Amino acid sequence: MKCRLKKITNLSGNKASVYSVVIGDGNKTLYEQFISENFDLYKSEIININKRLQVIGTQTGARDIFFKPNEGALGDGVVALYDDPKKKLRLYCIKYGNQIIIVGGGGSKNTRTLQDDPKLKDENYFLRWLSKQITSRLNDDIRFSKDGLDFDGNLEFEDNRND
Amino acid sequence: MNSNNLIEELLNSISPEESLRIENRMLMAAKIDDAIKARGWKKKDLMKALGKTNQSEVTKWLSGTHNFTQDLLTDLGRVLDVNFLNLEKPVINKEVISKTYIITVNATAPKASYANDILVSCALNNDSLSDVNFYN
Repeated sequence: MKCRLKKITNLSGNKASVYSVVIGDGNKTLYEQFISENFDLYKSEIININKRLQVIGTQTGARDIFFKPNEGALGDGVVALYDDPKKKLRLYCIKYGNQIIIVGGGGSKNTRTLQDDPKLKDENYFLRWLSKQITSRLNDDIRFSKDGLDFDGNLEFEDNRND
Repeated sequence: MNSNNLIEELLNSISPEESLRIENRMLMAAKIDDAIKARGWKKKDLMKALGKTNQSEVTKWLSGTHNFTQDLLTDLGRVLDVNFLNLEKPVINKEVISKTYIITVNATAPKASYANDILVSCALNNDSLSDVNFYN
């Protein structure tokens, strides 16, 4: 299955670019899927998360303080956007410095570890895989733009983990 | 909800008040983050300076979701030597009042050449033209 990075222009700005991932031939990103899946149950949190991503893109940049670190494998940049501590909604991302974030999927975390929840595990492990792909191709057919705000090059990936 | 415009619709659905609250929470967290870095501190240094024992509390403050109290900002400002509360006397913008005078001048009137001078004088002194006798 193919997937590609897509920049979310209405959340991106001169402080950070917000990307997400389109799976297959569709047009809907993982982030949009996350919104659709959780909107009915967590409407106010979803609206809040969406606005916060826009503030990151346009005003603050993707500072470490806004993200729960070490949500992936060592050094792969997989993090989770902090939500209201009383809420349980997890949104997984990959962070590249303060200037690029790739927003994946997530969901409500009701288990002690993410590995105990098949949905969260799928979302999280997909980003771990994607991070590895990007790292292996960086400075080859994927590069950072001069201003550090964008990826340039071939942003398509072949997900053959299930082959 | 239509997925194509989903993100834009969400951005438009938020009230201006809530939008500004979210922005300010994040901007305040960023400002505190900058102050911590400027001192060469880590979160644990801030925690110690405030006499706290739980670092997760500091993490929560900096997460961009925290609604700061005035007392906490005062305490943070004291240990970081930054004024996070602007308590200077606010400058209130005075409303600018403009007046438009429309007058008809009889060209044959002997004093007509002074009409512009009278107008300028009225505008500067904030006088009403009804108080002026153009034909004295």
